[in-house]
Amino acid sequence: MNKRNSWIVALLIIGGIIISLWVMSSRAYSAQNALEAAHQRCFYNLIDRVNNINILISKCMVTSSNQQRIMTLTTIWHQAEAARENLSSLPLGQQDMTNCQKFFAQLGDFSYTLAQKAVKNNEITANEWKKMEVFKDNSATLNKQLRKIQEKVASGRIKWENQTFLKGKTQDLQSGIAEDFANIDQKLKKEAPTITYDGPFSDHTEEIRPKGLKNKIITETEAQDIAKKFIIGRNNNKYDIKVTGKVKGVIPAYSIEFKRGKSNSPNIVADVSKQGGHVLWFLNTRKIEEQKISVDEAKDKANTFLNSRGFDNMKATGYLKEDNTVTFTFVPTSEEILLYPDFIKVEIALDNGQVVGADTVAYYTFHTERKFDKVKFSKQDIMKILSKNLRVNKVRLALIPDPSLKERLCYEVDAKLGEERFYIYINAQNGEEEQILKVVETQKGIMTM
Amino acid sequence: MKKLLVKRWKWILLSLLVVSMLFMLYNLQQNRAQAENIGYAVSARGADYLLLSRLISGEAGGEPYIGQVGVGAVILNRVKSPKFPGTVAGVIYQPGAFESVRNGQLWVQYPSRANFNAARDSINGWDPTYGSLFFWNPYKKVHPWIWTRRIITQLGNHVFGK
Repeated sequence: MNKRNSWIVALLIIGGIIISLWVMSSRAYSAQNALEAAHQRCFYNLIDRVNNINILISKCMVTSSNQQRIMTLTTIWHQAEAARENLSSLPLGQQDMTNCQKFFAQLGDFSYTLAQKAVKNNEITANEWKKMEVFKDNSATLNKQLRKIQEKVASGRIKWENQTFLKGKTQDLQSGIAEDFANIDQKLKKEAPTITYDGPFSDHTEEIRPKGLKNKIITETEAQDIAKKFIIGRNNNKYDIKVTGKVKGVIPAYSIEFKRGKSNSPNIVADVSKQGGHVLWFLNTRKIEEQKISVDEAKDKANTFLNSRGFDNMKATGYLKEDNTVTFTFVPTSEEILLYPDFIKVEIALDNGQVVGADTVAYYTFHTERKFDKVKFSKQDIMKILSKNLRVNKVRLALIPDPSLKERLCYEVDAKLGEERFYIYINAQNGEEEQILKVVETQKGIMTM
Repeated sequence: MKKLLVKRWKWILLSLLVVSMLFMLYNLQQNRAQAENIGYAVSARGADYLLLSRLISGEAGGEPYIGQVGVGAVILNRVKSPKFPGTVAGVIYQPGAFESVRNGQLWVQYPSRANFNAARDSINGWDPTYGSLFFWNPYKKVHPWIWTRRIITQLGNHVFGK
């Protein structure tokens, strides 16, 4: 009896193990199939979209109807974005796919700006058509290359990269797809056009030169002194200050850290620009206790801080309160015009009002002496343009950056539609509506979307 | 001993059942604790904020604070760049882009207060990497082409580049 029972138990255990192994492997197999199906779907969609793009570009060059052209251009934008999405879903590992991505993003963005131009009845220039022609040639080549890969794909399951989770089963499959894509990417890097236009992905946005720096080149020791004076004051000797590295960004800078006593990690970190010796940002990493001061008091502290550091005519435009700190955005003004591109952020600890962080990168990147032409539209003209449903609270002049970082002088209209608040920006030179921001007021502060 | 085991098999089964029930209950409890935590941590910015915090936790959990902000900034720079997908989720879940997504570390650990703060600072527009699009650990093996990127700065154990 006993012996028989133990045999049954042993059999059950072995049977259980076999069954669970079988279940596990079949689950892994079907999971792999599902994944493979998703990848193949993206691949076939990508081919489809590239094909569509190629045809659509030629159609929009042929058509003589403006409406048709606008429709085609926006469809290209849509197809290019979809292609970009498909491409980014393919399992190509760490291969460089940035040029391919950029190709689709710029093609879509460029088509969209051309469509906008067409909507406004502005003529599309010969140069712009020439760029479109290059895009068309590129997409034709791309199409050919993808078809070649498709032959491999059509043969069954693909080994996308060298890693798979079921060993053995995938060994006889086509490999090297990732490498094929990397080759396409390198080809595009050479052949895709460099384009400058009024969109966020225009190539000129990558070549920004800082405008707000003074000329003098400073040394490491000077950088340390500047940081000390700016952040903790000249007479504070509690910290051990040293330069820890050099930053080679848009504004070359020294990385500086402040250490107190025997602490392992730095208490304060900061960057000071090599040219001009400006503190670009700093952060105090101390623990912040319960709130003791109000947001208004904090705002005064931030104002005093900026004034004492030589930033005049700054206006606080918004704040965000989180975890016992509050971050203010300040914007300089010139001739009553708010200069939004040149913003500075100041973070105040609400336990004792200390300035625990600041960011002036945008200020030193964009701030410069600007000459403003006399505005062609007056406040009264703007009121006539606005939708009649709006209740206008305030109108003031402001300089805003457009998506391609070009600066536009606008009227900022603070208005309400029912209970919802909006900032509407209307170009002061031509009366065109440039942007609408929805203002969301929460307990934590005012945010715009 | 064997005799005892066979004789008492009902009891053994029952106790196993009880233990597994307790284990399940414990797991449920844990999930609930985490759910409450989520409600507290996410306030205004919703899904992106939590996802970004998770990635920072997975990729730079052991890094100094500024290095964590750097990783958050790289994600947001990618979102703005034409060279990468246009959403936070698109960038984070791009196949092969991040080790912590591949090995599941992203979901294992709930982000710490510091991770959330770093995500928040980077969403607020703070970028100590000056527009970097890549970060990697110079002591670990990475795809060779990564090293062709222009290095901008080093924060903690990661170098950041464009």
